[in-house]
Amino acid sequence: MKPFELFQCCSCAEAVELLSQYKNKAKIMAGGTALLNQMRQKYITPQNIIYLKNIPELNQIIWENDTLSIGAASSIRDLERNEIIQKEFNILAQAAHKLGGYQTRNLATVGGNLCNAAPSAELAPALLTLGGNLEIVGRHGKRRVLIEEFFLGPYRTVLQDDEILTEIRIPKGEARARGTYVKLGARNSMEMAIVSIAVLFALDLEKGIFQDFRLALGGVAPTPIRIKAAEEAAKNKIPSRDLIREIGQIASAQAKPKADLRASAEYRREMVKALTGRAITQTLKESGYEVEKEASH
Amino acid sequence: MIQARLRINSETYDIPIEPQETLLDVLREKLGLTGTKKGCETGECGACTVLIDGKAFNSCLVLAATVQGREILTIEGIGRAEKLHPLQAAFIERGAIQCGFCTPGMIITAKSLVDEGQERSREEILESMSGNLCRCTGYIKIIEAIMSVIEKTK
Repeated sequence: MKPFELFQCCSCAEAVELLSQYKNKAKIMAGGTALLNQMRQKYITPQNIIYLKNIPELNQIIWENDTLSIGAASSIRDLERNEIIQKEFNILAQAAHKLGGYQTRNLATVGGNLCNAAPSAELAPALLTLGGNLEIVGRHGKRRVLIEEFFLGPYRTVLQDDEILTEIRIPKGEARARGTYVKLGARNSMEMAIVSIAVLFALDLEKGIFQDFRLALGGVAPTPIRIKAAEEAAKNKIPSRDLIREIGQIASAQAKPKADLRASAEYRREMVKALTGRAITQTLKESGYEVEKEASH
Repeated sequence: MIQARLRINSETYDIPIEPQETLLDVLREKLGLTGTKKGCETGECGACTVLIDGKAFNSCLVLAATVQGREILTIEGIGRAEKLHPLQAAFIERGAIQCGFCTPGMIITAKSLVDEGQERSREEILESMSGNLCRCTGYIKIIEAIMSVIEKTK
């Protein structure tokens, strides 16, 4: 790798200061799993690296006042193994578990995964269904954006030249909500998703209908996306086989996949349809719900 | 140039390093600890795995300057020919070594698993070893060796 200056920061203020100074001649690093590979392949050659992993508040995962606060430099492993995340936000733990491989998860960070902003960013679909928001700190102070607003395009986010992501915040949702994250890849591990699906919903068991249905996809558009049309179609409806098929079809139609070396666009569309159905069925099963063949009205 | 202080296998090393030097390169090129192997340099093969404060990392993706003061364990630090670590003994016993290139990484990753001291199913072991590739053995003996040690230590 080409030589660079390394700044190991002790505070966010220090990091923002340095970033404001060096701007596009600097790159942020927390885990470095994506960054170092990009540098080795000479996609980027930053002259300065601003290292955030030592900043204490960026490494905390705090559950307080029914809100989960995740420091942006928290490792994927920390998310995967966190008891609160496993219990209350299980879909996020599922997604964390699917990222990379065993060693990569120890090093990679949630902030890095989001800020690298791959169209298939592993944690994005789950976070989109959970309705997270992000704290961003820059020279002019702090601001918050919804995770839905964070991604602008492939590998592009709303972060300005002088800004760093500091926190991911998720409010406690519907207590009975369950979710499933499905990742399609050629291998069982160490893969970027061809497509990924996150589905999250609660069931009104009395009425036997979907409540608050959320669906997000990765790898099928310039950014990770929520499929609001499918969510609308599902809300307050009985989870029948027909409805599940319909949701899969809407999701497939809304997806805008491109062909790349991993898969064709058409294959991705087909997989969205099939795997959305699978994710919903899996979640229903775990909710103890038997799927009817036809809607009863 | 950084005057770095690194803790490796319970020894302290004071060496000058550059910011862009990875832990892998420092171990192999500057300290002659060549047990840790360079396979892919992209964090995909696991041949470069070391333990840092007990957790397995791909040393090809770690900047040496960032792990000063952490306890780093390499394959050289876990056993000697006269006193093998149980994992090393199990690998030999079970025939889990062919060319040997993946072996240090396999053993180091497995050690972090074993040290967690928990019961692990075969599936869980497979998942935890997912970051270590082997081109020779087909993995069966490797997993058997690791399972036998986890069985014994639980």
